[in-house]
Amino acid sequence: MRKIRVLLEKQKKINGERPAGDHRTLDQYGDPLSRKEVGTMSQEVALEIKGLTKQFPGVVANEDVNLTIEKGEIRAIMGENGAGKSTLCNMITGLLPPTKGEIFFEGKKVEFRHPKDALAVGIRMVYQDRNLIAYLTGTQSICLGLEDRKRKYFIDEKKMHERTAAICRDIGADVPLNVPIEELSVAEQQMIEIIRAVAHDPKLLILDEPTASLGSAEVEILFGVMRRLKESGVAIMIITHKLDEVFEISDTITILRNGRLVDTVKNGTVDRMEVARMMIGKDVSSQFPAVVNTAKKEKVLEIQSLTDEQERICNINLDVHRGEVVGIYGLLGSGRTEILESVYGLRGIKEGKVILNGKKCPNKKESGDMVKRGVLLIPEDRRHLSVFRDFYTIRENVSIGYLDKISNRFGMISKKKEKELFKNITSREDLRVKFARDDQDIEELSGGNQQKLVLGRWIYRDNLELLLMDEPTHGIDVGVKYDIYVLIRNLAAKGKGILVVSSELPELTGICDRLYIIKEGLFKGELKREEFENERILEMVL
Amino acid sequence: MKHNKALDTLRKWILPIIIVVMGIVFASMSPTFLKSANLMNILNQTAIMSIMAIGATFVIVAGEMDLSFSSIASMSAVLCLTFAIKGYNAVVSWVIVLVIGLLIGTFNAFIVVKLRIPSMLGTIGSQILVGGIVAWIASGGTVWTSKFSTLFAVPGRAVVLGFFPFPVVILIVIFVICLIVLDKTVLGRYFYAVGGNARAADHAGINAGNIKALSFVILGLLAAVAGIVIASKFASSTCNVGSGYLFPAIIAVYLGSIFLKDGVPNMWGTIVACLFLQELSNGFSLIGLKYWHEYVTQGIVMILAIAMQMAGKRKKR
Repeated sequence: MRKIRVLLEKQKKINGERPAGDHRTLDQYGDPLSRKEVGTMSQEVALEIKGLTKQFPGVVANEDVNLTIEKGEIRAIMGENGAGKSTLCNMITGLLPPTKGEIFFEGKKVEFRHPKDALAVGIRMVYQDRNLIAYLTGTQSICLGLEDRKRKYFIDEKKMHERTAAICRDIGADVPLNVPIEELSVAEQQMIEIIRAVAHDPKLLILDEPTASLGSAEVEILFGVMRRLKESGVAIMIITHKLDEVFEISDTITILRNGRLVDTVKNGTVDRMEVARMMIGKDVSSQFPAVVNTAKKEKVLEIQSLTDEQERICNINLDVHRGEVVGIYGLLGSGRTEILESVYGLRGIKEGKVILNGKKCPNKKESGDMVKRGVLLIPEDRRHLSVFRDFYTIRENVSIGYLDKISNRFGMISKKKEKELFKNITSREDLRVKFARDDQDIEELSGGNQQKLVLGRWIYRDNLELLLMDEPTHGIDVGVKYDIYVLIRNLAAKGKGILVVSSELPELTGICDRLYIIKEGLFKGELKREEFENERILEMVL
Repeated sequence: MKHNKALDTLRKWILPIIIVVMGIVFASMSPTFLKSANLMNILNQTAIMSIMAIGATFVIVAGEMDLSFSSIASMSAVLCLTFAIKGYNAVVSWVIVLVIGLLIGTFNAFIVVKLRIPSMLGTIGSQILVGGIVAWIASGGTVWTSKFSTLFAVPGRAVVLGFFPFPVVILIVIFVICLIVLDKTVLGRYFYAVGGNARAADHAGINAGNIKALSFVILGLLAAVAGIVIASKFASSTCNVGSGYLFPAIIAVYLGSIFLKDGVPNMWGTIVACLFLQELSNGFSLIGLKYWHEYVTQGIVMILAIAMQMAGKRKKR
């Protein structure tokens, strides 16, 4: 319960501090390329990228991105999940080679082959998933790779400790430096990462969601550090979802959408609504099939005041009718996946009920229990949670959903029936999977066709009642996305219940009959299709 | 593309090709090699290791490792002989020994699935633990007897139809059953699912933990069968008689994974690899080479085979 209270307080605080939609003077900034006088300190350019493009098989992650960051500038990078923020940063830090385009650092063209090349010129990134070595102490982690030495070969632990302690004093961070990383809290670990980046005298510092695991005191320290670095001429890029923080700390804001740069604006010239609008875009209606309401009266799923064991979600109420597509919208880490996992039995339930077709499901479930009841989950992480790559062909990837159909009572599988089944399913009008042979590796197919196979594995099962989908079109090209939307609506028309989680708001407003909004594990609102309004919804979660 | 396909086929059939080529070499150097008695001898000699390798295939297909089955085989062999010396009924002794193998397998399943100890480490632990108990039972030495009841001698020494040594019969029966289970049944499909992607299997409603547990139990049982054959065949057993079979059996599973399928452990591959290893050992001794020559060759073949398999995988990705 304590956690719920903390969440509520945190929410109140954020809402109170910054009234929604505060308007500032509108001052158009112009084309990001032609602009020279950005930043407050210096006129010198730290980083310039021209026409940067990154293609993955089947997906364009970044297309023709141009941007310039001056020394002493704090640049916020915003965009929905999958907008290409991380790919962009990974190209700057040398983790990924660009497909096309150029990067200039301090006026010189650079081509990084490895992250160490970027480190060598002073580009430092703090990743969202921390990269610390569990058994090293704070001091050892901070100095890793740049240890102080005595007599050339020996580590000078004392000097190292003095150095790191001085940095901590300097920035006002109170982090234990002499205990192994694994004994620190997540926030302390994140601070160690930040101190580590600062200790190596970066010239460009990239922070990926640095505040995601920090408390408000630590966020203040971080912002203090950022301001100090800014004064000394360090350029900073910060990726974050939290608009309040963007407004507080950044000089300029770059918005990405679908891998492209939408605009770069000066902080203070835009309000929340405008940022939201730029993040989502407007031309969305034609990407979706027509939605006909096929919802019936009976409920297939009812969730009553659900709290999971780890309290990632608190007191969630939700229902799905037969023939209805219901969406859950929230930011990364808001608990949207956890709702699906709780229903499916992958996550323990602390309080509350999950009711399927009027019957309460046990709170403790064995894996496979819900499959027998006709509930199926299409997870977000296709690579790790849905496809079988090593030992399975694409045929076996599909037939695993129908083994009872193609085997006799001794459990012997008929190869002939299996091949027929595969042919039958993959050639269905609403699936149409593209493949060469039925014994291919699934990884030889595009993301979209992989997802179609995973869907094909489940959706033609006779006992299907409820389909849970987590980011069903993640990493899938536009054309196939449309096919999947059609498929979802068709299933609803057949009377199945569908519960979709997505971080792409237009996708949810495009295909859902009803939408639940959650933020930080708590229920924020429920909207019917006629009440859908992207800006308003985005404002509820930011 | 076509060239690539030919290479793929070559890779998948390389193991039988080597067997034939080596067979020709051995036959040209030693006239006894190709005699039917010698060929049957190869089969007979490989039976004990093959039975264990078949069990190990289940564990490796399920994505785990077991290094304790050598100790289970030792336990089974030593107990069998101990019971024989005491004059127990053979069938009763076998049942007891099989149940013990099953229980040790269950213990392995418990430490890997429930305690979540990485199987490589956990089963080293049980290897030492069980090995210690066997040594205790045998007082650290060899258990042997000269007054075997006829029934006790059957699994290792009987000859069926005047031609098939009984260990070969046992091997064939076990192989056929396991081949059908792993290759043709839903259960077998689940083993591959769990080994390929345990988390995805759980999401698909397959209880990955149970499947893994089952693989350890099967291996425990089969290792106990191998121990029974050892005891019966040699009428004597040191307390670590099984350890000589440990690595060859595991090597056979990995070596076999290049046969027919690209790096997927499978029953046919395992048995073909077992035959290959035994052919090597038999041929080398016939033409007067020593066991160290055999080891050197085994090592080279193993590394080359895996390198070929990896090269195939890299090309695909």
